[in-house]
Amino acid sequence: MIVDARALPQDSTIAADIAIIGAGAAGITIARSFLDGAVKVALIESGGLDFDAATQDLYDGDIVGHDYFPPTVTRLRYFGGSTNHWDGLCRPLDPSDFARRPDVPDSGWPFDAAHLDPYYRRAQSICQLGPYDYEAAFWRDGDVGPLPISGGVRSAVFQNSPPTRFASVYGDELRGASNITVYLNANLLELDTVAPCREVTGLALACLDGKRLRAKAMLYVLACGGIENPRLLLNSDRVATRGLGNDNDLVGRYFMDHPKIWKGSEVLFATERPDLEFYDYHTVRGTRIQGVFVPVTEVMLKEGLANFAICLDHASLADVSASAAALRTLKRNFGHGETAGDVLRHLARAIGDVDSLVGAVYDKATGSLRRFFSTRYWCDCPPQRDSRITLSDRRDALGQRRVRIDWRLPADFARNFQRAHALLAEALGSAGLARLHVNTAEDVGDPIASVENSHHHMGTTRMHVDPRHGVVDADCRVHGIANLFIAGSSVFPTYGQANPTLTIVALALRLADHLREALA
Amino acid sequence: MIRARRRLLATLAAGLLWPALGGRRLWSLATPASALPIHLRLVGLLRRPDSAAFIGRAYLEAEPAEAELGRILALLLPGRSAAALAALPAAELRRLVTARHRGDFSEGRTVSLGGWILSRTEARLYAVAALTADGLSA
Ligand SMILES: Cc1cc2nc3c(=O)[nH]c(=O)nc-3n(C[C@H](O)[C@H](O)[C@H](O)COP(=O)(O)OP(=O)(O)OC[C@H]3O[C@@H](n4cnc5c(N)ncnc54)[C@H](O)[C@@H]3O)c2cc1C
Repeated sequence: MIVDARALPQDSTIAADIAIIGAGAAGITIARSFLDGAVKVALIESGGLDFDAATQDLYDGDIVGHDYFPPTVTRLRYFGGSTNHWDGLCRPLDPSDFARRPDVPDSGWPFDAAHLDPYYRRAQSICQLGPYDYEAAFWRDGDVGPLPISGGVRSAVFQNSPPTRFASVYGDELRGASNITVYLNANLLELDTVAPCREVTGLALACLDGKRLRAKAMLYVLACGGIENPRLLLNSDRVATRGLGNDNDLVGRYFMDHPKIWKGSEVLFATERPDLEFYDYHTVRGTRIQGVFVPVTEVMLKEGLANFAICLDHASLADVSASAAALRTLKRNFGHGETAGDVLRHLARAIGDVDSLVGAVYDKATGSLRRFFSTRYWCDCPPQRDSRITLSDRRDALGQRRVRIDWRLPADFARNFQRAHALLAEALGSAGLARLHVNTAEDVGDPIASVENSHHHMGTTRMHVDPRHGVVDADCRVHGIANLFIAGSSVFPTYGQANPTLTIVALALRLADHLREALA
Repeated sequence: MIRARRRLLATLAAGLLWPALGGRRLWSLATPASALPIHLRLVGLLRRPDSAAFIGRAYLEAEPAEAELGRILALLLPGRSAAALAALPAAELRRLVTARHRGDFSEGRTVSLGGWILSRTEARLYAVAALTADGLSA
């Protein structure tokens, strides 16, 4: 059933076995796990069925620290959450992302990748993906396959969800379910508790039209996304004065996202029209995929590198001429009227020459500009305590303190960026395929300064078995609070280069199993 | 702006469509290869020595200490004298350069020229082409 909370009587109480707050990928997945069973589920959602500016404004906040997309842009606040505008790129975390890395303080999950495998398999179909296989070789399709490279990088794939709009795809199921009620336009203000804060006793809800409601359940699941989950805990401070679950000052800390650099480098292939279809979006046996370059795990660990992904985009002439100009600037006495294009032509011929010595097989010379590509780079960052979400002094229309986003990049970010591209240059060079130009501040402007976040909000209620190091335990239960659970990427302690939603859905399925056991 | 881009596009397209063997030969085709000094034989491996020389000059500017033919030849294929190298059949010379070039990339022996990451061996080969074209002087 779907109910507009504004139509409920003032001060009425919603009663359920499980109250899930937030109907995005995580909340909808957990609710669906109880479809047509005996467990009564209330799925409480701030927004309605469509975008509404006043509701979206509840997401506004302040940016301090590194540049970040405004908090109203980096997510959506209505039924379906940010899946209403996600791109659908999916990949599970790598096994090394779950492991504790001696060189990365606060790294590692309480379980390994294999533990999550069965949930990932189920998450694949929820996100409308293909077979649960992300090895490049599996996705070879006749002539279209990964480049024969070796060294520090290897090819891997991302699968593309259509992308699944969770509200449209699963809304009717929820509407028709006898035991699930979706309450729209109902905003959680605060999680109620009584001293000594060992359990949640209810939810204080409000609609934008002024209506106040309450909800009571046996178990509560906070599923409002990686920025809002900590905001709601921190705003729940009437009894727990530092915020609920925040005895150890961890809520909101370790805020992470994937820093992304567009056009970090240009790649000049030795031959025209190199066989790069694998690295473009394409469909294999009904599944849309894209090949990327990722580090070889042993090299990454040995060199203490971040996990990263690099994909190739067709370069524009402006990109290419900028990287050629770099060489022209270096060689002052080139100045016999050569243009950037001339410089690049020389380079293209010279490397083509040397690589033909190597006997490159990638020669499909048809005469086009399709030998220039630019790279898109993103990576993980080590958990950093001071990268964090806190509360602003500004308040929203419901009187709640807004968020303040302080995103920090690690000190070795630039080194990782350079090294990742050097590894790709070495792999492509040793295969006789291409040369790579890494952009620096001198040519196209500092790529590091142009870092964007990827709208992947992680780490702010991190998972750890020890309450001194994590907000939730291995079951996603808030340490010290018997009936409060958290779903979403805020529980990720470390995260690799994979986009988060597939893992969010896998963890949501796992949490649903746990909730079922807890109720039994 | 648009016109400048069009001009650049035309320049690039012209360069890319050049026939593979369109480069200028630095010596007479009639000369038997084995009679040539090693630097000419190395340059002879390149189909477009003029373009290679262009990049080679940038390398020599970054590494001025290598702007001397004897020194750069010793660094290019270490452990073999110029005379021994000159005596190698063309296919063997090609194989040696190729192996070292590939090895450079896989072992990280690279050089960054204005951000372009090249193997040391190819950069030195281009530098040999530059020194040759410029009359063996830096
Ligand atoms: C432009 C863009 C592109 C993206 N592309 C990708 C991609 O390619 N691959 C990928 O894996 N991920 C991508 N993401 C991220 C992806 O959208 C999120 O990881 C995913 O939606 C998170 O799911 P969630 O359920 O945790 O949170 P959300 O989807 O954000 O859902 C949270 C829900 O909680 C509700 N809510 C918030 N506050 C309250 C409150 N106080 N009371 C009641 N309800 C509340 C919201 O209205 C919302 O419906 C992208 C994101 C953006 C913005």
